[in-house]
Amino acid sequence: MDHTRDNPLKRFTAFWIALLLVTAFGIACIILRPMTHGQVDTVSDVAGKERLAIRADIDKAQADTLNEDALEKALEAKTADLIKEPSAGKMPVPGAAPAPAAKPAETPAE
Amino acid sequence: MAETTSTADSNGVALRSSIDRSLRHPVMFFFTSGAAWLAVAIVLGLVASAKKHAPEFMNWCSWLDAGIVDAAHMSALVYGWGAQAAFGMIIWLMARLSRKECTNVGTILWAGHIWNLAVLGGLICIMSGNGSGVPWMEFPGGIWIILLLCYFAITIWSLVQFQVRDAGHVYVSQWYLLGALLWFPWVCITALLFVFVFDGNAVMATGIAAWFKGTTFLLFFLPTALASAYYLAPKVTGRPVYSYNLALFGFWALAFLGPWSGMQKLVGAPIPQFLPYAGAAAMVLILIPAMSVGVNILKTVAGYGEVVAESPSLRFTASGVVLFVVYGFLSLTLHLVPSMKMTQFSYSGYGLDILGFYGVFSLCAFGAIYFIVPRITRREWLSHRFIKWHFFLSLYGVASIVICAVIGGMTQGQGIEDISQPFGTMAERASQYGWGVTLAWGFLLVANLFFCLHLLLMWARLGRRSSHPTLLKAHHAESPHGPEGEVDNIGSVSA
Repeated sequence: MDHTRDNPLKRFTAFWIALLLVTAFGIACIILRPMTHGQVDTVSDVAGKERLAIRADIDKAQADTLNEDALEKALEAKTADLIKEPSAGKMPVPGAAPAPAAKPAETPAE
Repeated sequence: MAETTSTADSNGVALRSSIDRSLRHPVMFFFTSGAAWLAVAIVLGLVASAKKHAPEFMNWCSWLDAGIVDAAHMSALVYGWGAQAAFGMIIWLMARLSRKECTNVGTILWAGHIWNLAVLGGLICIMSGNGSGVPWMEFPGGIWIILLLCYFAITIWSLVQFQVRDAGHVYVSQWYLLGALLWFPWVCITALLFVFVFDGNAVMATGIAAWFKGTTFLLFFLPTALASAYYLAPKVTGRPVYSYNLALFGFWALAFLGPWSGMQKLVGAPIPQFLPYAGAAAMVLILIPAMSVGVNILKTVAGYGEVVAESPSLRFTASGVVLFVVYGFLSLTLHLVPSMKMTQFSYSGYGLDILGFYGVFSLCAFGAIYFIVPRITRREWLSHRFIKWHFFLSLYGVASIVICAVIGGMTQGQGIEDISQPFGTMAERASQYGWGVTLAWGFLLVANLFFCLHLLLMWARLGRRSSHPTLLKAHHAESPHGPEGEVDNIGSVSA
């Protein structure tokens, strides 16, 4: 064994140097990151208040426009129409008599 | 003079024996637990691959949903098998090359056990739907801190051994080992901080995660595999490395190109456009270190074809090196700008990943394991047939996966690009190749059953007590592993 290179002191220092080496970049990131990214302007920071104001305006405009009575009436009318007994419509039903053919168009006199 | 030489030889054998004995438990622990994780990863890979062409397969189990099982498969493969195989190789190779016994076996073993528990915990989190969703960093953030601490506890002793080594030559393998040991914490800590800890733009976090995936392979797994190749090729053939200058060039080319790779997957993403194209350029240029390593190793073993064919470790290693050259060519083809359109959202990238991780790294790791295990257990491998089956099925399996994934991926990519075709056509085209990939994982599963069984028998010290290494031929004649009887002589010298 070459005692000038391998002794407890050398191993101790080698251990700490190695630990420092493998963690150096991480330590540098942790130290430097707050210095370089102290003022982070996120979208919500920059435009948040303005967006919330626009949203409040839209909500208010929608609430003002909404006529709940008229909507209720329209819904009732539609519901009544939907629950009526089915009646013969224009669409042919399978098994029903064929629809009469349309009359031919009149021939022009001239 | 003859007496002096004989004493030196005897001292050398005694030193190697004491190094092997000091590392027996941690190295065998890493290799066997890695092999067990490899089996788990392959089963998960089979299910993940089957899900790609038969989505209803096992759909009764929510823990095996397509996205979940794919993430679990890659995590088990990379951190269960790959990392542990790499740890075993690193601590053994560095101790041997620095000619220093390991004096921290207990710490390494503890850290190894905790590493395994962390990987298990991470996989449970992924499969229960609590993974991070970041490719190759699927474990939750807390697991990463545990893994990183374990990494330090396992590998830092190798750096100390290198520092206190006897003055003299620094081997090519040591350059790569040192690179891997220092680069991985850099990549891992950076990714961990910027993805999980610091607040920042989510798109940049995605970019950093892509960079982590690319660089973890090129700057940790690949250098470990190449360190093993640069150790085994001269050791088994008894010849020096063909060219040290070429080795130096290959090392620095990898060190220069590796950190640029990864972001090529994000072409078109809202990040600075030079980043993905710099990544693509690095992946194109990776052919340069691939060629320099390939030429160097293959020229080192040139003229020793019989030895390469007969020695299990050299056969696996040489195949890994050849596949590294193939990786370089395939990487060049897939990362040119016209082909990236076809490969970005297709299976092709998966094919390249598997070629790198299984074809290059794992084959070199198998080669190292076939070399190291007889030395630390003082037993020879039981069956040359098991090794042959392992070799041929591994090679056939990995070749099938790569061919099916790359060709299928290109077809799939063409389908995505062709707007006149419905999306289903693209899926139908790819599904044929998906069947091929599933079948190939089946081959790898059988290959690794042979490997796992063989390794477990060696772990139980049921290997052959013989002075003849197990060679891949019926009759043992001259050993390609150096002087015969070294394994047995170790016992007599150290006794």
